[in-house]
Amino acid sequence: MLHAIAFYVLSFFILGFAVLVISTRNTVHSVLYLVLNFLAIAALYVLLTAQFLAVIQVLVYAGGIVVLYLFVVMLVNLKRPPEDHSAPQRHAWIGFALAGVVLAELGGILVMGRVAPQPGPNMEMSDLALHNVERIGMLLYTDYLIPFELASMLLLVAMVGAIILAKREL
Amino acid sequence: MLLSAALFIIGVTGVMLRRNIIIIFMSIELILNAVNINLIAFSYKLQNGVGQVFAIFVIAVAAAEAAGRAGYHPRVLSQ
Repeated sequence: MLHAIAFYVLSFFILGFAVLVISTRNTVHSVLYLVLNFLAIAALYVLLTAQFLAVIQVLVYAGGIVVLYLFVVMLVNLKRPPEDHSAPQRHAWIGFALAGVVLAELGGILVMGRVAPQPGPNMEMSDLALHNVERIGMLLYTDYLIPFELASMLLLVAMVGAIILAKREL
Repeated sequence: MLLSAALFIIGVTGVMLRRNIIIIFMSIELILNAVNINLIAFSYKLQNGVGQVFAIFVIAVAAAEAAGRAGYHPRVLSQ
């Protein structure tokens, strides 16, 4: 039951952020919605017992790919005349509200963490959930070794190609 | 599965509708994520780790694509 509720809430967030990504006028806002979308998808991966994939999602997508997007967007935006920024004080109350939410959350974790029920013996978890990294590593280095090496070659070629493409400009 | 299909449709709509090339690339990322969700959902349903392995490959390909675009994009746009 809780599982289903969490799934639908996360689905709502993922679809909402995806719609915002493609409908926002401002490109930087679009990239930031993309970060939120990726984080919601990572949470969904945890729900679907793919913890390793969730960590990879946060590291590679939310950490790496989105930074590349932001670089491109900022480089392109440099050629436009700078927009007049609104006063930062106007949005101060949003910052205070968010800080209050985070503080309440931390307090809640402190309080709830003490009284959290220990996982009983009847709490069943599948083998894939418990030994997630082991299972994936075993598959990756035995049955799927050649695709794995091909993926590493693809990344190497992409890196060299990106350097060559960028170098021609200099 | 329905979530994955919906995310895929949003990504395709983004590719179709928007003219801004950065938005189009982001829509492609959305499509790749939809594929990943589908793979992992089936991996969870069948309790089989192969889907997660393929999702790792999809993420690697997406990273390679992002790297290639990062080298290609500033050159095209600065002309």
